[in-house]
Amino acid sequence: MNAAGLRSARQPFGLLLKQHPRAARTYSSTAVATPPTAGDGFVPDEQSHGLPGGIPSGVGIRGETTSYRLASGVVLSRPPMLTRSLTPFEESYYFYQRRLNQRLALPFTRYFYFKKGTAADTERKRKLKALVEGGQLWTGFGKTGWKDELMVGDESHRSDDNGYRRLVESSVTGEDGDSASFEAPLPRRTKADEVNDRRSLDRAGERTLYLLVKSKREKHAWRFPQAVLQGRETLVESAKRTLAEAAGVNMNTWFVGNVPIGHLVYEYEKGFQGDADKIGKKVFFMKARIMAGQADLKDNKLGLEDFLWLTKEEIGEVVDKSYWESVKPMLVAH
Amino acid sequence: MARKAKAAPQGDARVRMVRYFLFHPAAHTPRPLKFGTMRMLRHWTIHRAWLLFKRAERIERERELETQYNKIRDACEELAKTDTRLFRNAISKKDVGTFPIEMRIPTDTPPKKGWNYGWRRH
Repeated sequence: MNAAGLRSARQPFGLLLKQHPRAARTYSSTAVATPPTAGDGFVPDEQSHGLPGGIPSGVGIRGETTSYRLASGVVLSRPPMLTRSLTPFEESYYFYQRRLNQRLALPFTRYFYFKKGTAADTERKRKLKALVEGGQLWTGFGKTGWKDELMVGDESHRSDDNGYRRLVESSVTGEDGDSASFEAPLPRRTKADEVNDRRSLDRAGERTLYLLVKSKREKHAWRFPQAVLQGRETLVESAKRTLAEAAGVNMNTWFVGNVPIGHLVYEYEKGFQGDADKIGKKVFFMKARIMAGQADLKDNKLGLEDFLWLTKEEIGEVVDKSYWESVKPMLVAH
Repeated sequence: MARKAKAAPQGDARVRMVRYFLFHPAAHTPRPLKFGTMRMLRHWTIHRAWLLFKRAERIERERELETQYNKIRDACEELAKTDTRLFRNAISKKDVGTFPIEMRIPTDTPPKKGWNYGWRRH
């Protein structure tokens, strides 16, 4: 009986929400139960919004209109294409460990793979002999098996071609002529690296590149693409629109989540008349990744004149100092 | 044992070969590593240096993640103070999308055709 009474007294959660629209808001301790009324003292700037009757997006928790214009920025990055190159210490350490492993491993069971007296076996012997004579071979067996360490200054474990030449010299192909079937790997430094083409996405393969755009003005010209929020769009929607307006739609991008990865608050300079009832801007940055395509500033709606794909340090050299201080923590080192 | 060895080999020759190389005779098993005092000391030093290196690397990475996390948290707090609707949308898990299959993992050498500049949305 009691239980039935309790059950009937309990209300579904959805009903509770309907009756007390602000009761379930627990996301900020500063929340005060004043209804956020749209439009008190807020005149939407129809010129900059371009949406007549658009609902202002600057309504705060206390129901006050904020005196900052909200904007969304896009941190569009190209993730590293290449694996990280090893430091000299890592290279040496891995070599040392490989030699130790060779000392502990079972010998190569050659007659399991090459039948005695066949052409392949002859080729294997010939190539092995060449390696031994060239001093390029060390095995963990025999009398010199203990000598697995290199002398100081011996750089023979390093290879400038990722071990390609040695592979060609030592692999048993079963073919008569030179091993033309081996395809040389492409160099890790691309043509874009050589000419330092900072608009290219083939550059700096080991690093993350970020898209920066340049506005037509003297100060704070280089920035991440940013634009004012319009109507009732969310941050991600706004960021997607911003990117399309800034750099065209021909980029295959992926926006990572709905959460802004950083923000920037600044006040307009004295004498700035572009935004009459606001004192500054709050920019929320959204993270995105590019998989294909390229930025195209033709007919862009934000008045941009140039773009660059830059690594973290290069961004610091290009952008304004105060801007750099606030965007630096969002960016990754590699 | 000796009688068995003298018997003529039976079964498929290939199977016998596989068996022989799978179950190595004792002469083929690797010798245990024997280090002298100085070699052992060198080995220990190298190992310690490696641990230190990894530690520095890990700390650096953790600091970077922490900085990024703090930046996200600050942005969310600012957003909550500024606009509740935007904040609610930002922290909602709806419409976060799926992981794109076009993403490529880093390789040792660059792709043969380079970056795909010709991608078009339609």
